[in-house]
Amino acid sequence: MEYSIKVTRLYKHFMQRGKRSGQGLFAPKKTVKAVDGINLFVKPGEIIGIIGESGCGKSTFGKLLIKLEDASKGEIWLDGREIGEFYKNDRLLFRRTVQMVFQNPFDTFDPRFTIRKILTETLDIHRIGETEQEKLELVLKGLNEVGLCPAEEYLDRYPHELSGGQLQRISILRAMLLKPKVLISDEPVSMLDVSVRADVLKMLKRLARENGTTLLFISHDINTVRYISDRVAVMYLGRIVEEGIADEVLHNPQHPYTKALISNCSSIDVFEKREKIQVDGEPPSPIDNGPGCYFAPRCFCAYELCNETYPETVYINETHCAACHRIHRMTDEKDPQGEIHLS
Amino acid sequence: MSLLSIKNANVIYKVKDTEIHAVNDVSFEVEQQDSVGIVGESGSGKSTLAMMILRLLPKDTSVTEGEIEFDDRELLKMTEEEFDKLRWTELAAVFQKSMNALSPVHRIGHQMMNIYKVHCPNVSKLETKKRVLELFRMVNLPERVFHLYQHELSGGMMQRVSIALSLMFNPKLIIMDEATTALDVITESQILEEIMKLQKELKLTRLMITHDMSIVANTCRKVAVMYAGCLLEYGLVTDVIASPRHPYTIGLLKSFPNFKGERAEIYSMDGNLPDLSRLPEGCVFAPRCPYAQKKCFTCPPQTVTYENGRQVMCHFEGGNNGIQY
Amino acid sequence: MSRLKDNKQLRNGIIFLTVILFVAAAAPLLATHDPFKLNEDILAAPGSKYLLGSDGLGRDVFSGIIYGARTSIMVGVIAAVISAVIGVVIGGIAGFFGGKTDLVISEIINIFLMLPSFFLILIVVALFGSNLFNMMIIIGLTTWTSNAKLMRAQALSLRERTFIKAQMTLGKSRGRILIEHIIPNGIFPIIANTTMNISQAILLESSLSFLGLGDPNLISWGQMVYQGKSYLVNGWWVSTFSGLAIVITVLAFYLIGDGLNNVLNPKLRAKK
Repeated sequence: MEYSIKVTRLYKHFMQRGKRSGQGLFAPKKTVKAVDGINLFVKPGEIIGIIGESGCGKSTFGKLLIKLEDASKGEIWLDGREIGEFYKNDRLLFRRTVQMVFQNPFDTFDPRFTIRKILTETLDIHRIGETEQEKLELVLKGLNEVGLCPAEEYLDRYPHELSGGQLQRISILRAMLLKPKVLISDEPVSMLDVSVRADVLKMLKRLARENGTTLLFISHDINTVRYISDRVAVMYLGRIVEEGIADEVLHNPQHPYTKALISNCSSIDVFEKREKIQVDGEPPSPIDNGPGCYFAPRCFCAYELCNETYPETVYINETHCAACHRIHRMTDEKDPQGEIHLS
Repeated sequence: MSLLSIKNANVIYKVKDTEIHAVNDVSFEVEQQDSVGIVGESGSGKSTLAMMILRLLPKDTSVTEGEIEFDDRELLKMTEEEFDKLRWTELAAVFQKSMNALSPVHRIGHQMMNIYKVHCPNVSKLETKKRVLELFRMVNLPERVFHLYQHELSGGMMQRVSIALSLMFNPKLIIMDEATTALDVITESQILEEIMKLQKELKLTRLMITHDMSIVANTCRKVAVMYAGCLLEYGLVTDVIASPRHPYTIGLLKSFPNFKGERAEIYSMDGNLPDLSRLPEGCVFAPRCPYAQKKCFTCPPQTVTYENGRQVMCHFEGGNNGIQY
Repeated sequence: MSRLKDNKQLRNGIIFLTVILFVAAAAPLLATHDPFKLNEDILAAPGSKYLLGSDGLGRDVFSGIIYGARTSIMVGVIAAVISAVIGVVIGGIAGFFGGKTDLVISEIINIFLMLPSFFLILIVVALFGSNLFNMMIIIGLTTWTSNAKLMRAQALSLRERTFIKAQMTLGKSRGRILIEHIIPNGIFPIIANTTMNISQAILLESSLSFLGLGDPNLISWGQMVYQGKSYLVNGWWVSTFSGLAIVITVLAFYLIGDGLNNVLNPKLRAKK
């Protein structure tokens, strides 16, 4: 089957200027491993949520997919084509295949342009619509579709005259005008007011479903991700530590980090008393992670092996996998220490 | 007995020819050792209210009215000198970026000692250092932070230093304005946990200002829901969040995606926040309210008080006159 | 717009400039004599016949200054515009494209900064003759570095803004992004700098003329100062008034430049 997004062993390392990891002039420069070996397969039309704390590389991952950053190593295939080749051969088609909605709606548009110019210009670049009239109709139809009616009223306004929610709708509309196969949205509602978030989320989900768009939804908010995604992937320090069907991962987490994250997530349920898992220390920066599991120094159930090698990804069932030594032991019946259960 | 009582508080910002009603007739009381969360979206006036209590509003562009009684003293009528004595020693605050107030070129511990000396000049150097280290212990900071610079701290540690600073003189009331907003989920929940523990130990009264309803649900005893400068609903968290009565609160809570149970469709509120310079004649929420009647657009609703000191500002509140979502 | 009115520097500068521009435009109406005509009164003191006196060849200083305004402003404006255009394009490319392009261009900028530009101008004028056209071009070609540095810094910060990234993801070519978004959004400091450059160019032209390298067919303030310097003892007015004209014009552009900088620069604005 053709995957909509196929990522294999993807790395993105940033060199840190001037800083060297060791003493001396010729010591290797420090590298920040923003994305450190990601494998991900997403089917067409699927909505996948990427969860992680700040600095886990989830935004960099999104930028790699849309070529705002170039990968250090590894391959990305979108809609069956390797993006390096794809971009070289047909830049505009590549842009039409993958689009992005950004976090900050207040800075997504050139402040000097009106909404009309912003939207028709997008059509112009890709030569969509024959006449001006046709383009205008497309724009108006789109504005109505994202809930900005009467659409005519918005055409000649400038971005600074609109609210965050309205701008984010226009940002989504601009991306969807190109009918992309893949849409990347990096924290699209985190800067919006609570009372308009729900509406934007609903609209994003509806548009993705209606157009059969594959949606990569990057967020730190577990509840939002649960609402919108079919599947979720949890990232920690540049790697995916757990991945699977949304409810399975969130309600039956296997990786200790996922467990800690979920238990620490506050809910609006006043009567619910969740047992919070204590995690030691601060999230480390993704430099010099050492040979072992990246989460081991903070993990509540780490043992010797965790500090020695990075665990392999283990499948709990066909769709749910996680990278943790403990799980390995659990499934491996010959291991005498297998009785340690994580619950 | 109430420690802080706010009566008919009003704040109007004057920018050129327009008047912006940032806080509109807000009244509520905060009891000793209570924890109250003020939730609202941007422009709801929650931060302005905090600034009003701390008397940090710009004097030339804002007009304040009403009474704020703190520990039987009228805050708004005090002279600058009287209030300065109160600030920090009895009334402390933590902001989202409190650490920006510290100098980046001096060590953290050194700066904290200097601050301590300003209010307690007669204490010896050793005592001061002891006090600073004691504060570090309280907020779970390692002692090595004493010798670090601001840029060497992570976001969580910075906020911990800010909290330690605010607790320096054993204040009675601590106001936290989005104090944990920029932090990561796990760090945030750890710090919140610690704050709740400290509150018990030090017998603090806490005012939490945040946009995040879930934080209030988890860490406060009472909640005040603000919208466009008005206090729409106030009461115990277990009352307000479990069974909200104001349509805004109801809608807001329904718009949160749930974590447990069926993946239900979320409720979305129509419209946008009102223009604060042209407030509607009637209820501020009426234009977005699915239950608004004629009355709601023409006359402003009164605040009605119910059991457990619960306040609701809505015409059709009480017995939920047909309000069902 | 109210900020424009509030800024005193800017307002005074604009008033000065309007007067100067008016004088330059209405020169034939205002001048009392033909500035080239050699009158009989040599080194006449300022009085009713010669408002600001006459020079060693009997030319009227007042009329000379009035016609000289045209030369000065033309040289200043055109040279500064040339410098701005070159600076914006080169700086914009360096900042926006980054990487090796930036490295190479930055080095070129550094080389130009090291060059003693005044002597370069002297050489060019000596080689190619001193007409006005040469002078404007050469001043423009040697002063663009400050504009390039400003534009590069602007482009570097704009490049990280979301709306530029959004334009890239939409498929706009980098050249178009540079022209349609980076330059228009980052041009304000260059506009402010250009008005300052105008005054510098005026000074440069005056200096060249003072050294006798000006265009001999035109009246210029620098030339008048130069010619007046031999009569400083018995005819102080020649150099003094033409010198004053230079000072006032330079000041006017400086005030405007500084005022614009304050008005357009959000950081400086916030401090007020």
